[in-house]
Amino acid sequence: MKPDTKVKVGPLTLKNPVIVASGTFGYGAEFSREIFANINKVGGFITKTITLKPRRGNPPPRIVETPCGIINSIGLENPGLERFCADYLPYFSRFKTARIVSVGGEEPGEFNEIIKTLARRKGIDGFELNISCPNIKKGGVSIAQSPDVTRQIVSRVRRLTGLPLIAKLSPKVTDISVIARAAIDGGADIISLINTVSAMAVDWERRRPCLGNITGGLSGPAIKPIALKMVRDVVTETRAPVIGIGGIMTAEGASAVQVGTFNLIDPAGAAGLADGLTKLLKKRNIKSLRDIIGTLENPV
Amino acid sequence: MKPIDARIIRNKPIAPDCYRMQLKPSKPFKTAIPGQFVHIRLTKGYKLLLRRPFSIYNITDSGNIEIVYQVLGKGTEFMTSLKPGNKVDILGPLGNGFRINNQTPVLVAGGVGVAGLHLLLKRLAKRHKDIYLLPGARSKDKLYCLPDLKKLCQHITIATEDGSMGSKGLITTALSKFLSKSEIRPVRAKSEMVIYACGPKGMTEAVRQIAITQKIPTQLSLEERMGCGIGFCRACVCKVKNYADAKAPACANALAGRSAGKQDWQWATVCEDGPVFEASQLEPQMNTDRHG
Ligand SMILES: Cc1cc2nc3c(=O)[nH]c(=O)nc-3n(C[C@H](O)[C@H](O)[C@H](O)COP(=O)(O)OP(=O)(O)OC[C@H]3O[C@@H](n4cnc5c(N)ncnc54)[C@H](O)[C@@H]3O)c2cc1C
Ligand SMILES: Cc1cc2nc3c(=O)[nH]c(=O)nc-3n(C[C@H](O)[C@H](O)[C@H](O)COP(=O)(O)O)c2cc1C
Ligand code: FES
Repeated sequence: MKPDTKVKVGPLTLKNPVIVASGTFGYGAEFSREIFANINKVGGFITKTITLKPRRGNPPPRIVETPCGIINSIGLENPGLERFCADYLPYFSRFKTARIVSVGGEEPGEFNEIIKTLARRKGIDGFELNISCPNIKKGGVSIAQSPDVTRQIVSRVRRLTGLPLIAKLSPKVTDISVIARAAIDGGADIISLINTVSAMAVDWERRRPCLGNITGGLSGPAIKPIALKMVRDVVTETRAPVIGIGGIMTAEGASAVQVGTFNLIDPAGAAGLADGLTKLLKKRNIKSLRDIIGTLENPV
Repeated sequence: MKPIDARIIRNKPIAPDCYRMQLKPSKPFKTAIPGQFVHIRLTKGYKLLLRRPFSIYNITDSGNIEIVYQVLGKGTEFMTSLKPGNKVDILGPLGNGFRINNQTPVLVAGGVGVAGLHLLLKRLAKRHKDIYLLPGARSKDKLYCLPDLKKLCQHITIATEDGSMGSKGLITTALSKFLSKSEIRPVRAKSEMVIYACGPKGMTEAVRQIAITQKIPTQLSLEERMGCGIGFCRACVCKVKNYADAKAPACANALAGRSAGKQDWQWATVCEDGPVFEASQLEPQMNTDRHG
């Protein structure tokens, strides 16, 4: 019998816990049939973050490899709300998975405008508020560093939509559970964490930073232990539904996760993880994934 | 786009710092357009996390891929240790390659850039009697693949920076001189020729400037740091003129429908929109070459 990989995270029901993370798979438009099939295999698909106006992003180089990770400084390049609705949404809404739009902005009003427009459109199953991108100058990380601003943004958006709201947090804070609490108080249904970790790399031979933007955000296996600790902090302190993000490249131990960097390495990777999970459960004779979620015990 | 396994068939040095590798993909490569590339995942571990892009140097009759790589950093260093029978994982063929037409071809290569022009030369040799090739490098020992190139092309003009072979200086200086002498016999007007260039950023930018000032149709293969290699991540951007204004036929096609409105310039991806661009479409490119 095929094991049941369905999971519930807050109000979201996912056919499996593998979600494609924002910014690592574009918008799902223009892809081949093969890619379309791959996206339909995963539990959820989150778009690259869109902002109200188009953004050009940062100068290249925009990516550099570091031990067990990569640093990127794309800078939220995106076509803006208007073109997202016209060119990308029609295609995006055809995916047979949880379709989540990532929304970003430099100031609280931007989030409102975007959600107001998108709340009227069909084919969206939820929103992720990216209040934590390290690659833009205003807003971005600074929002997710302030519990007050976080609460304010989430609560204003909350009034505009009944769809599931995910607040995506930055690791660049002293106590992540305080921010998570503020997001939940503001009306967020789910907390996702972590966004990339602020970082830089230098090319000593050229005596220059490797990235055109000098600094960027670290992702990949290097940040997984950091993410795990922060997920634990949020879960134990707030009991909020959580989606873990950071360095996921294998299927073991997954409850609900987003996969980012791995998509850059293998475009069929996330779909492979979803398949792999089914196989793993079968091998261990576990009938339903829900039976083991939340069973991690503290050592006594 | 699904990655496929490829087995190393051969991996031998052809110069002190350059190797030629043949790979047998689990599904044979039937065809590739010259200028397209493969994106290679070298290990499944957490070292060398990103794929490495390499031009397709050649496709054998049996559908094997050949690449020629210069040993520069961690990834290419690791590649030298791969033995026949070892496996890697490849994505490809990727990107938009060179467009072949009836104009008299002039090929300009900087260093290992010849690897990106060999397949083109092979295809061009089937239609053109006169092909002009200008390979340049730091020194003689970095002029890779010359024997292969000589088989396909009679008019070769070499330049090395240290003067150890051919004229002393940059290949782009040699190109300017070459164009001014109009050594190209069958050509009456500059519009009757086409320049194809591949090499480090500084070199392709210099060729772009020559192309624009002399109004010569030119196709440039660009390099940029890559993540996904297939247009997802927008890491590998280069500056292009607003697509809507771009008149270049084939590339405009590849970029169609993606105009960002009234902006004077915008980013295009080297991996998906390129790596080959018409010079007329490009804005000046910054030289951020690490090894340049
Ligand atoms: C479309 C395309 C085709 C290419 N074809 C060839 C070829 O046929 N033969 C060849 O020798 N080289 C080619 N290159 C350059 C080649 O990809 C780099 O030399 C190689 O990735 C260096 O890897 P490394 O780990 O040894 O160097 P490191 O400097 O250790 O690499 C660190 C990171 O930077 C990236 N990187 C470093 N240099 C370059 C570069 N010049 N361009 C893009 N990424 C770079 C690497 O991929 C890696 O992610 C091509 C590049 C592109 C974009
Ligand atoms: C190239 C790249 C682009 C990204 N763009 C976005 C983005 O637009 N919005 C966002 O919320 N996160 C973005 N991220 C962060 C990822 O969604 C994810 O939080 C992070 O990479 C950690 O997960 P990972 O280790 O699996 O990559 C981006 C990450 C990468 C590598
Ligand atoms: S490498 Fe990802 S878009 Fe080109």
